[in-house]
Amino acid sequence: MRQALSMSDTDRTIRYVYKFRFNNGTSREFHINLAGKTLNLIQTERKSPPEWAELNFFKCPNCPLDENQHKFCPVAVSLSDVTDTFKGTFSYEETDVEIITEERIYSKHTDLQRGLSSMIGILMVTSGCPVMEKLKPMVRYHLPFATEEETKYRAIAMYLMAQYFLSKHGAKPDWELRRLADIYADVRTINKAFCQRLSNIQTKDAGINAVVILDCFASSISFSINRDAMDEIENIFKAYL
Amino acid sequence: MAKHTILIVDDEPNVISSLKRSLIDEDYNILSAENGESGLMLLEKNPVQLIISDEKMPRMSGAEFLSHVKNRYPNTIRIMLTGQASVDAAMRAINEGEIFRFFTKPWDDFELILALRGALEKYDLEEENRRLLETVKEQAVELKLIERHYPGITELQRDNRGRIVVQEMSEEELADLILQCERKYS
Repeated sequence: MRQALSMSDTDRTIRYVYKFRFNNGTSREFHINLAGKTLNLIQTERKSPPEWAELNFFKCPNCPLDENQHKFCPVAVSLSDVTDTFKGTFSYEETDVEIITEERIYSKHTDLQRGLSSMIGILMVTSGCPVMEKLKPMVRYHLPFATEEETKYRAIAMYLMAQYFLSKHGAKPDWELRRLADIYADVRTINKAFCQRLSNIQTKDAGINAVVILDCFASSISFSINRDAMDEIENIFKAYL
Repeated sequence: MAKHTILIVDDEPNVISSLKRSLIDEDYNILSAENGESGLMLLEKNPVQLIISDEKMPRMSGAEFLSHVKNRYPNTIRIMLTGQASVDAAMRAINEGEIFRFFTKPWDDFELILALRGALEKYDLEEENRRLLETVKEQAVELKLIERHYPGITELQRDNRGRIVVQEMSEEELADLILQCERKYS
């Protein structure tokens, strides 16, 4: 019984619906479906990816993919619809964002870059990019409109749980978070290269600035690890210390 | 107290926080504003040596903001930091705001730090030049006043080999001259 419940839970598709409503009356809706077991993005039927999505177009310097086996960058393919939709939109345009999951609905009046960064974060991590993949557990427990501090907490908590599982499997855990700093350094390289890719196609700044916000979060996590600056988080653990 | 004050203007608070983190080891006093209007208000109350501004912001663009800054505080070093690095945006910023550097987001911390150090060194040198120029101007005025009272005193006389000839002056004449100068300029 217990196993059956667990199986059905992991087999199910995880769905996110993002709705953007703009002041001029227009609206956009995106459906993101993830395979429950793998957390891979289930790609919808679409025309062939644009040229700018080719792997060798501003390829990330740390990309481990071989151009002979992968014609397209998985992140670019995943983001091509969103990029096309918002290519004529500025980052600061106000929007009402509604995010519908099976468990709850989130909503916020914000600017497009912040609304988009929440969605782009999911798409980048679940695209199949081997570098971004390490952040997949965070997507499973996605927190839309998270603050810098909330993101830091979630990232570190995720990583420490990974160390717990590593330890259970007999491997040496990394309680010093060294490897997490490396992961985020790699993620920042991807963010930077992806922004270069976007800036070389005819788009306004909404997509780029959404990635920039994600990069600011990544920089905050790297900073906290490298400087051992987690006082604000440590303070809430007084009951344990 | 930090020698230099930097103003960061960006409509995205996460970018402001991230920039502040990037500059945490530099000895700067950092001010921030989320739009051009607030940036201009801060400039009215605080002497600022360097400004980093986003380009795409609601109501007042970065180029427009930096253009106002150029007109009101022409000595301030202006840097633009933008997500959209189009040639048009860069040209407009350079033409309207006469910016010192143009950075794209996400920026490289090390590159930014070096650029800021270079920019502020340039600012200090220019400030020193302006100060020296002011001193030279003041001294020229003083010389004119002395010349008015002692016509010919500031003229240099040279001999046929180009050497400066110092006119003989008695000790009483010299003391009188010093006394008059002290009375006039003390």
